[in-house]
Amino acid sequence: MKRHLPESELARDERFRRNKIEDQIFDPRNIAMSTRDLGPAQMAVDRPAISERSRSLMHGIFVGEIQALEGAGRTCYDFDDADAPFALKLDMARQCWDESRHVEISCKLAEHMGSDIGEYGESTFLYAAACNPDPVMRLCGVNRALEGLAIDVFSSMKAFGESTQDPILTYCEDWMLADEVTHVKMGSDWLRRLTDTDPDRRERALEFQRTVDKVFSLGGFRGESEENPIQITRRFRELAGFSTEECDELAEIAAQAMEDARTMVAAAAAAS
Amino acid sequence: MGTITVTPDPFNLVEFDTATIRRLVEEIAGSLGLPTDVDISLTVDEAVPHPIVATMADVVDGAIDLWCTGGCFEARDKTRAFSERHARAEITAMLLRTRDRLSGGFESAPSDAELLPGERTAWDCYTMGRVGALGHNVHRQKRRYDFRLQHGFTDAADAAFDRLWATPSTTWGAIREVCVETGAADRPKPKLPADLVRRGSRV
Repeated sequence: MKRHLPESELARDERFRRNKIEDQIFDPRNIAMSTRDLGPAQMAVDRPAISERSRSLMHGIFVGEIQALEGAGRTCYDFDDADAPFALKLDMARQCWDESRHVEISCKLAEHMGSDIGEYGESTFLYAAACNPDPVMRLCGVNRALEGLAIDVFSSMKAFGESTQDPILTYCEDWMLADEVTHVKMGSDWLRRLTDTDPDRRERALEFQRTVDKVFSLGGFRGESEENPIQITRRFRELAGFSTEECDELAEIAAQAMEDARTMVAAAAAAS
Repeated sequence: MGTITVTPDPFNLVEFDTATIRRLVEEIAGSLGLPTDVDISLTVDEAVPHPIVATMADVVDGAIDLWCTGGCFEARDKTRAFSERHARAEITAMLLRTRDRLSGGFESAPSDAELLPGERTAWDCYTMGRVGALGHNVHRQKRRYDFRLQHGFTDAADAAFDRLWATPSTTWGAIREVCVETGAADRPKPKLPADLVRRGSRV
């Protein structure tokens, strides 16, 4: 079997359509939308198009779960024991089991919310982060950065489920959230163990994590204000091995990503 | 003979064709038996992408005034592309609601900007049930979830949904009774205006 499978070779059936990230980045509507007032972006029942926004977000999470399963599975297989100890691969195998369950939960949740598998396009950027040839980078990019983002998303959606008294959404998010804390903690633990005697490698891995965190703060998607639909969840991140300083740093990265997006939009508007 | 106007013409930010949309409006208005002497104007806010889907359907000075976000007509799996399937369903829903306003028991209903979320989702439920019965693209569970968000995740709300979905005819008064029955009428008034997205398009 082939090692290091590129995202272009991921197997999908005819229900799935892939989105190109460049289509989203260079969408000409972005500039016009940046000047619109749609109210606070945080998920709440009185926000515009809240049900379709929730469905679309949860479908994005569903395809993210598939890719997380694929990424953890690849890490079990892509490396020799010298690069990735057997105990790490066992953790990744356990994560595969969790992600499989999350895919099933997400399918049931989609039925509840009224969406179909493949209804919305799939972006494969999570799996792209899982293609790094260094297992430590993968753990930082996927387990600490992207599974960390999953903590924020599940926590925000759980709060939305509680506010609307939707028991199915609330429980689905709570169960998945519990697993994500474990996945992030696996990333934190293995980062420390594998780079214990190599501070340069640790710093490179943390830098990769910062880059992924910035990309996935998506110009204001995540943060700590009402302007951000997804809230940074400090409590669960601390349970997953993040220090207070690391949480502060993430909040700063998210704020910077939002500011960068505003600057880019202003520059594009001035140029048009 | 009334006129049909679709704005913008042409579309600049999305791959929509004004003539195609105008043809759809004309065809659907005819099939629903709307009076032929009524003017219809449809404004599509092309800057607003999926998943921000919002529509407004009013009758102003005897003319039909429709507005929707571009996201309503956008293919779900291809950015900026037109989906005739979604456009047909949304245009049918908007025109059915204006037909209700003209002569279908909703003559006393307030404008869409003044509707409360519970009232709007109940009316949408009645509308989408009819759109589905006409053979268009309607996802019943999607609509049930929308309804539950505003009326509660309860057996009473589900029973009201099923009733509204199946009925061939109801009135504005009955919609308000449903809101009382499910408790939606007792919910606090939303902080954001119902036409928030449309207001943005006027900037």
